Amino acid sequence: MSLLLPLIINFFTIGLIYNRWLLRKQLTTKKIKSKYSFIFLLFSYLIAFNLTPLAWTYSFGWEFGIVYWACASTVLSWAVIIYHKKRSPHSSKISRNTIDIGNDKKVKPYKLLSLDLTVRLQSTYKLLIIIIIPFIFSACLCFFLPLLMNNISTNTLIFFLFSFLIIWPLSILECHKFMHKPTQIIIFSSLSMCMLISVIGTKLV
Amino acid sequence: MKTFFSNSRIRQSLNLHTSLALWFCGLIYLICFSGTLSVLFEEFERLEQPNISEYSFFKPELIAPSIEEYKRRNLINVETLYIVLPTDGLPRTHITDGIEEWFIAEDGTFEDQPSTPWTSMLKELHTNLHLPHIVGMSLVGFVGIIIFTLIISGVISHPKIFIEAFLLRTDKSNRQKQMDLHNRLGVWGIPFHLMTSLTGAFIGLSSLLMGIGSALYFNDDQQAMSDAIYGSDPTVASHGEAINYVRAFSNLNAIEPTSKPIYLAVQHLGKEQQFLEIAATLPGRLVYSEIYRFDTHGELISAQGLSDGPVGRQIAYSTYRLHFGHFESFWVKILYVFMGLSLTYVCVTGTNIWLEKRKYTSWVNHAWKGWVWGIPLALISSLLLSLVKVDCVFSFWSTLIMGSFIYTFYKTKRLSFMIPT
Repeated sequence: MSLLLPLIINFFTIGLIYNRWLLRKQLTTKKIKSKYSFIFLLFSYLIAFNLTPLAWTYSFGWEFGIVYWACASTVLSWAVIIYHKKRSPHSSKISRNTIDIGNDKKVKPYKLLSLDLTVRLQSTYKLLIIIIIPFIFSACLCFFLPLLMNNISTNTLIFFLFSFLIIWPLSILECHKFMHKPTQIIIFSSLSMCMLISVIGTKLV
Repeated sequence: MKTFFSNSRIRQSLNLHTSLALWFCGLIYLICFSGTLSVLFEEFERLEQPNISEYSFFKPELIAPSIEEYKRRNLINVETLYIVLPTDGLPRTHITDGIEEWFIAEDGTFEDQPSTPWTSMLKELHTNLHLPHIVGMSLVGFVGIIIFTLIISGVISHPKIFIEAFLLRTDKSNRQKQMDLHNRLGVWGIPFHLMTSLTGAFIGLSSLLMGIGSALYFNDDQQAMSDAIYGSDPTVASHGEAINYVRAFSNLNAIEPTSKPIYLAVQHLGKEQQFLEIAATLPGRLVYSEIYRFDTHGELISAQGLSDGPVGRQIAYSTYRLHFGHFESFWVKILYVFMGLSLTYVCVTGTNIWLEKRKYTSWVNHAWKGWVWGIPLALISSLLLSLVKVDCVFSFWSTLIMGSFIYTFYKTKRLSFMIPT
């Protein structure tokens, strides 16, 4: 029973989202503007993102509840995706842009031992920049503040450790934005290096 | 079409998503696939060594004689001795000092030493890629960061995230099919994928983070850093008397009747400062365990505060079970396997999309296919070769490298004959 209740609620909300999505999709196809449809969609998402975790939490406690909610929503959504696929009309035109080279003589143009842009030296250098500079930036940002505190508690340490793990990927995203702007990348790198020097300096002092 | 992010932001994110994914796809696939299988490591261990006796409860009265027997067999003085108790996932008891290890039968007699070379190989493949411990773990943790970045950049670069929420167009072109599978599996699995990548990054990079933290805040004292996060050991003084295990267990039962002991550790074995630690899982809690410390008389000294201490400590100690999926029942493991496979498949389809997008075929297509099929093949071959005592690490890597290379070479040669001159 404890499993059944959140499962039913989860399935119901995914169904509701699907229903709203279908309605909105039809409206978009018919090019009818409806602000209500968007409000309903938003409302459905609000229900899904509040009611279902609550149901799972009610049955299994908040720690396991959140994990089960994450997994169950994914599994149930696939049931809906498969259902939608079964009931939507199929296109009879099957086009393939990949030709089976074993059976067809019309092979795609073939480049012997060609490597793409991604593995060229230039992109290796860029890749190193967008990984290392954000690493320095995020590490300095997260490790500097506790350095100024007299007494470092467990919560402070864990907060900054996890912040580092979240800020590093986000900095990679931001740093990549500057990749084609040399001035900005130089400013960002300089800032990171200054922060690193500050951390080392503070530690030595 | 109106989008939440600007077009240039979407394009930039897609570029980053593609470049990062292509650089690390081989590693991501290897780590995701081995991690998915590692969820079932307890089951694999049982299958690999089926002759060990299994039971659900090990009597506390048998602990003292087992330790005596261990001391008789292993004459080296050890600092900490562990007895891992039977659980639902692995209903076997074993005693270990971290190097020597024996299984213990229900009546307290010693059985075989653990011999699960394939499962150990699989676990080490996932945790450190068979590289030196710190280097390998940090690399795996770094891949966790890359997966995290890929998820965020993937979401930003997917402007039709809501419009295509339930679409799966398998009747369209092969590329469209791959894209739909990639996007649907990726988007609906975001909470799970974020959770595993972040916890994986934390576990993998823990050595590196501990190193940086201890250098900055604790004058290079890694133990002090570890104590600050997980709590420190108590200071006790005894007269070297034997530990009363029965009393300790009955006291634990009185303090926490719902707790399930999973292992015990005798710290500073045989010395004046010796004390007993009993780790026990608590119902409804994600923390790996709470550790209760008892003195030699079996009286409670303190609990480590992993379940009710500072929130940060609870979060840090919850990452393990959250990442492994070892809680509640066997069905959670199955769920984790499905979710892990979905992340693995997202990685494969992502690379396939890029390969399909290119207007030509090169050895890269075959190398990727060789790698994707080579890893399961190498795992199977290493399992079979382990039956005739061939080293699993060697057989895995040799099969994978040779298999991928031969497949790539054969397909490339075959294809080069078909190029019109």
